[in-house]
Amino acid sequence: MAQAQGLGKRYIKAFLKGFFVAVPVTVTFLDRVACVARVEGASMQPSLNPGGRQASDVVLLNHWSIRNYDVQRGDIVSLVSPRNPEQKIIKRVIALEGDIIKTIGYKKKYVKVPHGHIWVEGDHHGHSFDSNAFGPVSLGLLHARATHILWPPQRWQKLQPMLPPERKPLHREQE
Amino acid sequence: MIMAQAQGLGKRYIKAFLKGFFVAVPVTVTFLDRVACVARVEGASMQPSLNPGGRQASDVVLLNHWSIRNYDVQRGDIVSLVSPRNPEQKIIKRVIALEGDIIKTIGYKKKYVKVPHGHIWVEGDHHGHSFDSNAFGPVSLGLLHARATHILWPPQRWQKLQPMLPPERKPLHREQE
Repeated sequence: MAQAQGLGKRYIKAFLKGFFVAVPVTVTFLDRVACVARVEGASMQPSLNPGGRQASDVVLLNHWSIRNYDVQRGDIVSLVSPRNPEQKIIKRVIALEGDIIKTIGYKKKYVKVPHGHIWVEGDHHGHSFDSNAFGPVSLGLLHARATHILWPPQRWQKLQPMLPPERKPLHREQE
Repeated sequence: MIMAQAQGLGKRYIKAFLKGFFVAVPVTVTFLDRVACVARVEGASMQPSLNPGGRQASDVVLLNHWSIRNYDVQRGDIVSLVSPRNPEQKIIKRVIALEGDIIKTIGYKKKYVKVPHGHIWVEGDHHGHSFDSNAFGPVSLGLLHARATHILWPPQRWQKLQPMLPPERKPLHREQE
């Protein structure tokens, strides 16, 4: 009986030690390197979720690649929603700071993107809550770059930065 | 024989050090990211509450991330946030108004502002010497970094920072109580 108790305590102790190591290591990895997420909604159709509700895409979100806020036009990014900090939204970067663009349904017809901000849009115009609704977003709200579709298997792909030609800025400050 | 023993001991120490290192770093990083950290306050925008001594003696504050994990701030709190204009910089300001409040601004492009959903209005106590919402408008709660809860240094300024809303900055209309 004493031997069995001793063994039990040792297993519990080993488990707890492993747990208290694995949790911070995993948390740090998921926060700072990469994580996965299921995409909800139709705002990025047809690039993401073309199948609608039946089959949501699962994407790889790469935090590490945006640790210096280094995004390019055409990247698909996840960001904290400017209107609701508890929600993440996934959109395409259309314009960078200094660019002048023509908007689609925004309160101003032309916008120059302020310093430290970007302009994002969903590919499915009209079905997207994006900069055309809430304006330029602070780079500080940037969460990750979506680099790959991981699920379903028939949609495995690397997501390339792709700026729709009709959304190019009228004037770009940076090259 | 003695050489082999010394090498064995050395390898064991290195192994123990690496094991400790690869545990301690993620634990520390997780703590500093999600629980609390300390920071030196720079600048005069929060005088006299913070840095009254100017450049000679910067205050060091305790920044509590855990307390704002649900974005639960109140008017008068001193908070650190990611600068809306420069994501690589943190700024420290006082929360003046919450979403739905209507306030009178000081030098902003609009004289009256209703703070939009998911946003707050922040100001430095040292009006005129502060890059705050009167310059960049309401800020998204998503940029909130931490609440400054205590001054830790210098020792003669040890104190708990209480939420304090200047009476002249109260909102004209408040949506929440």
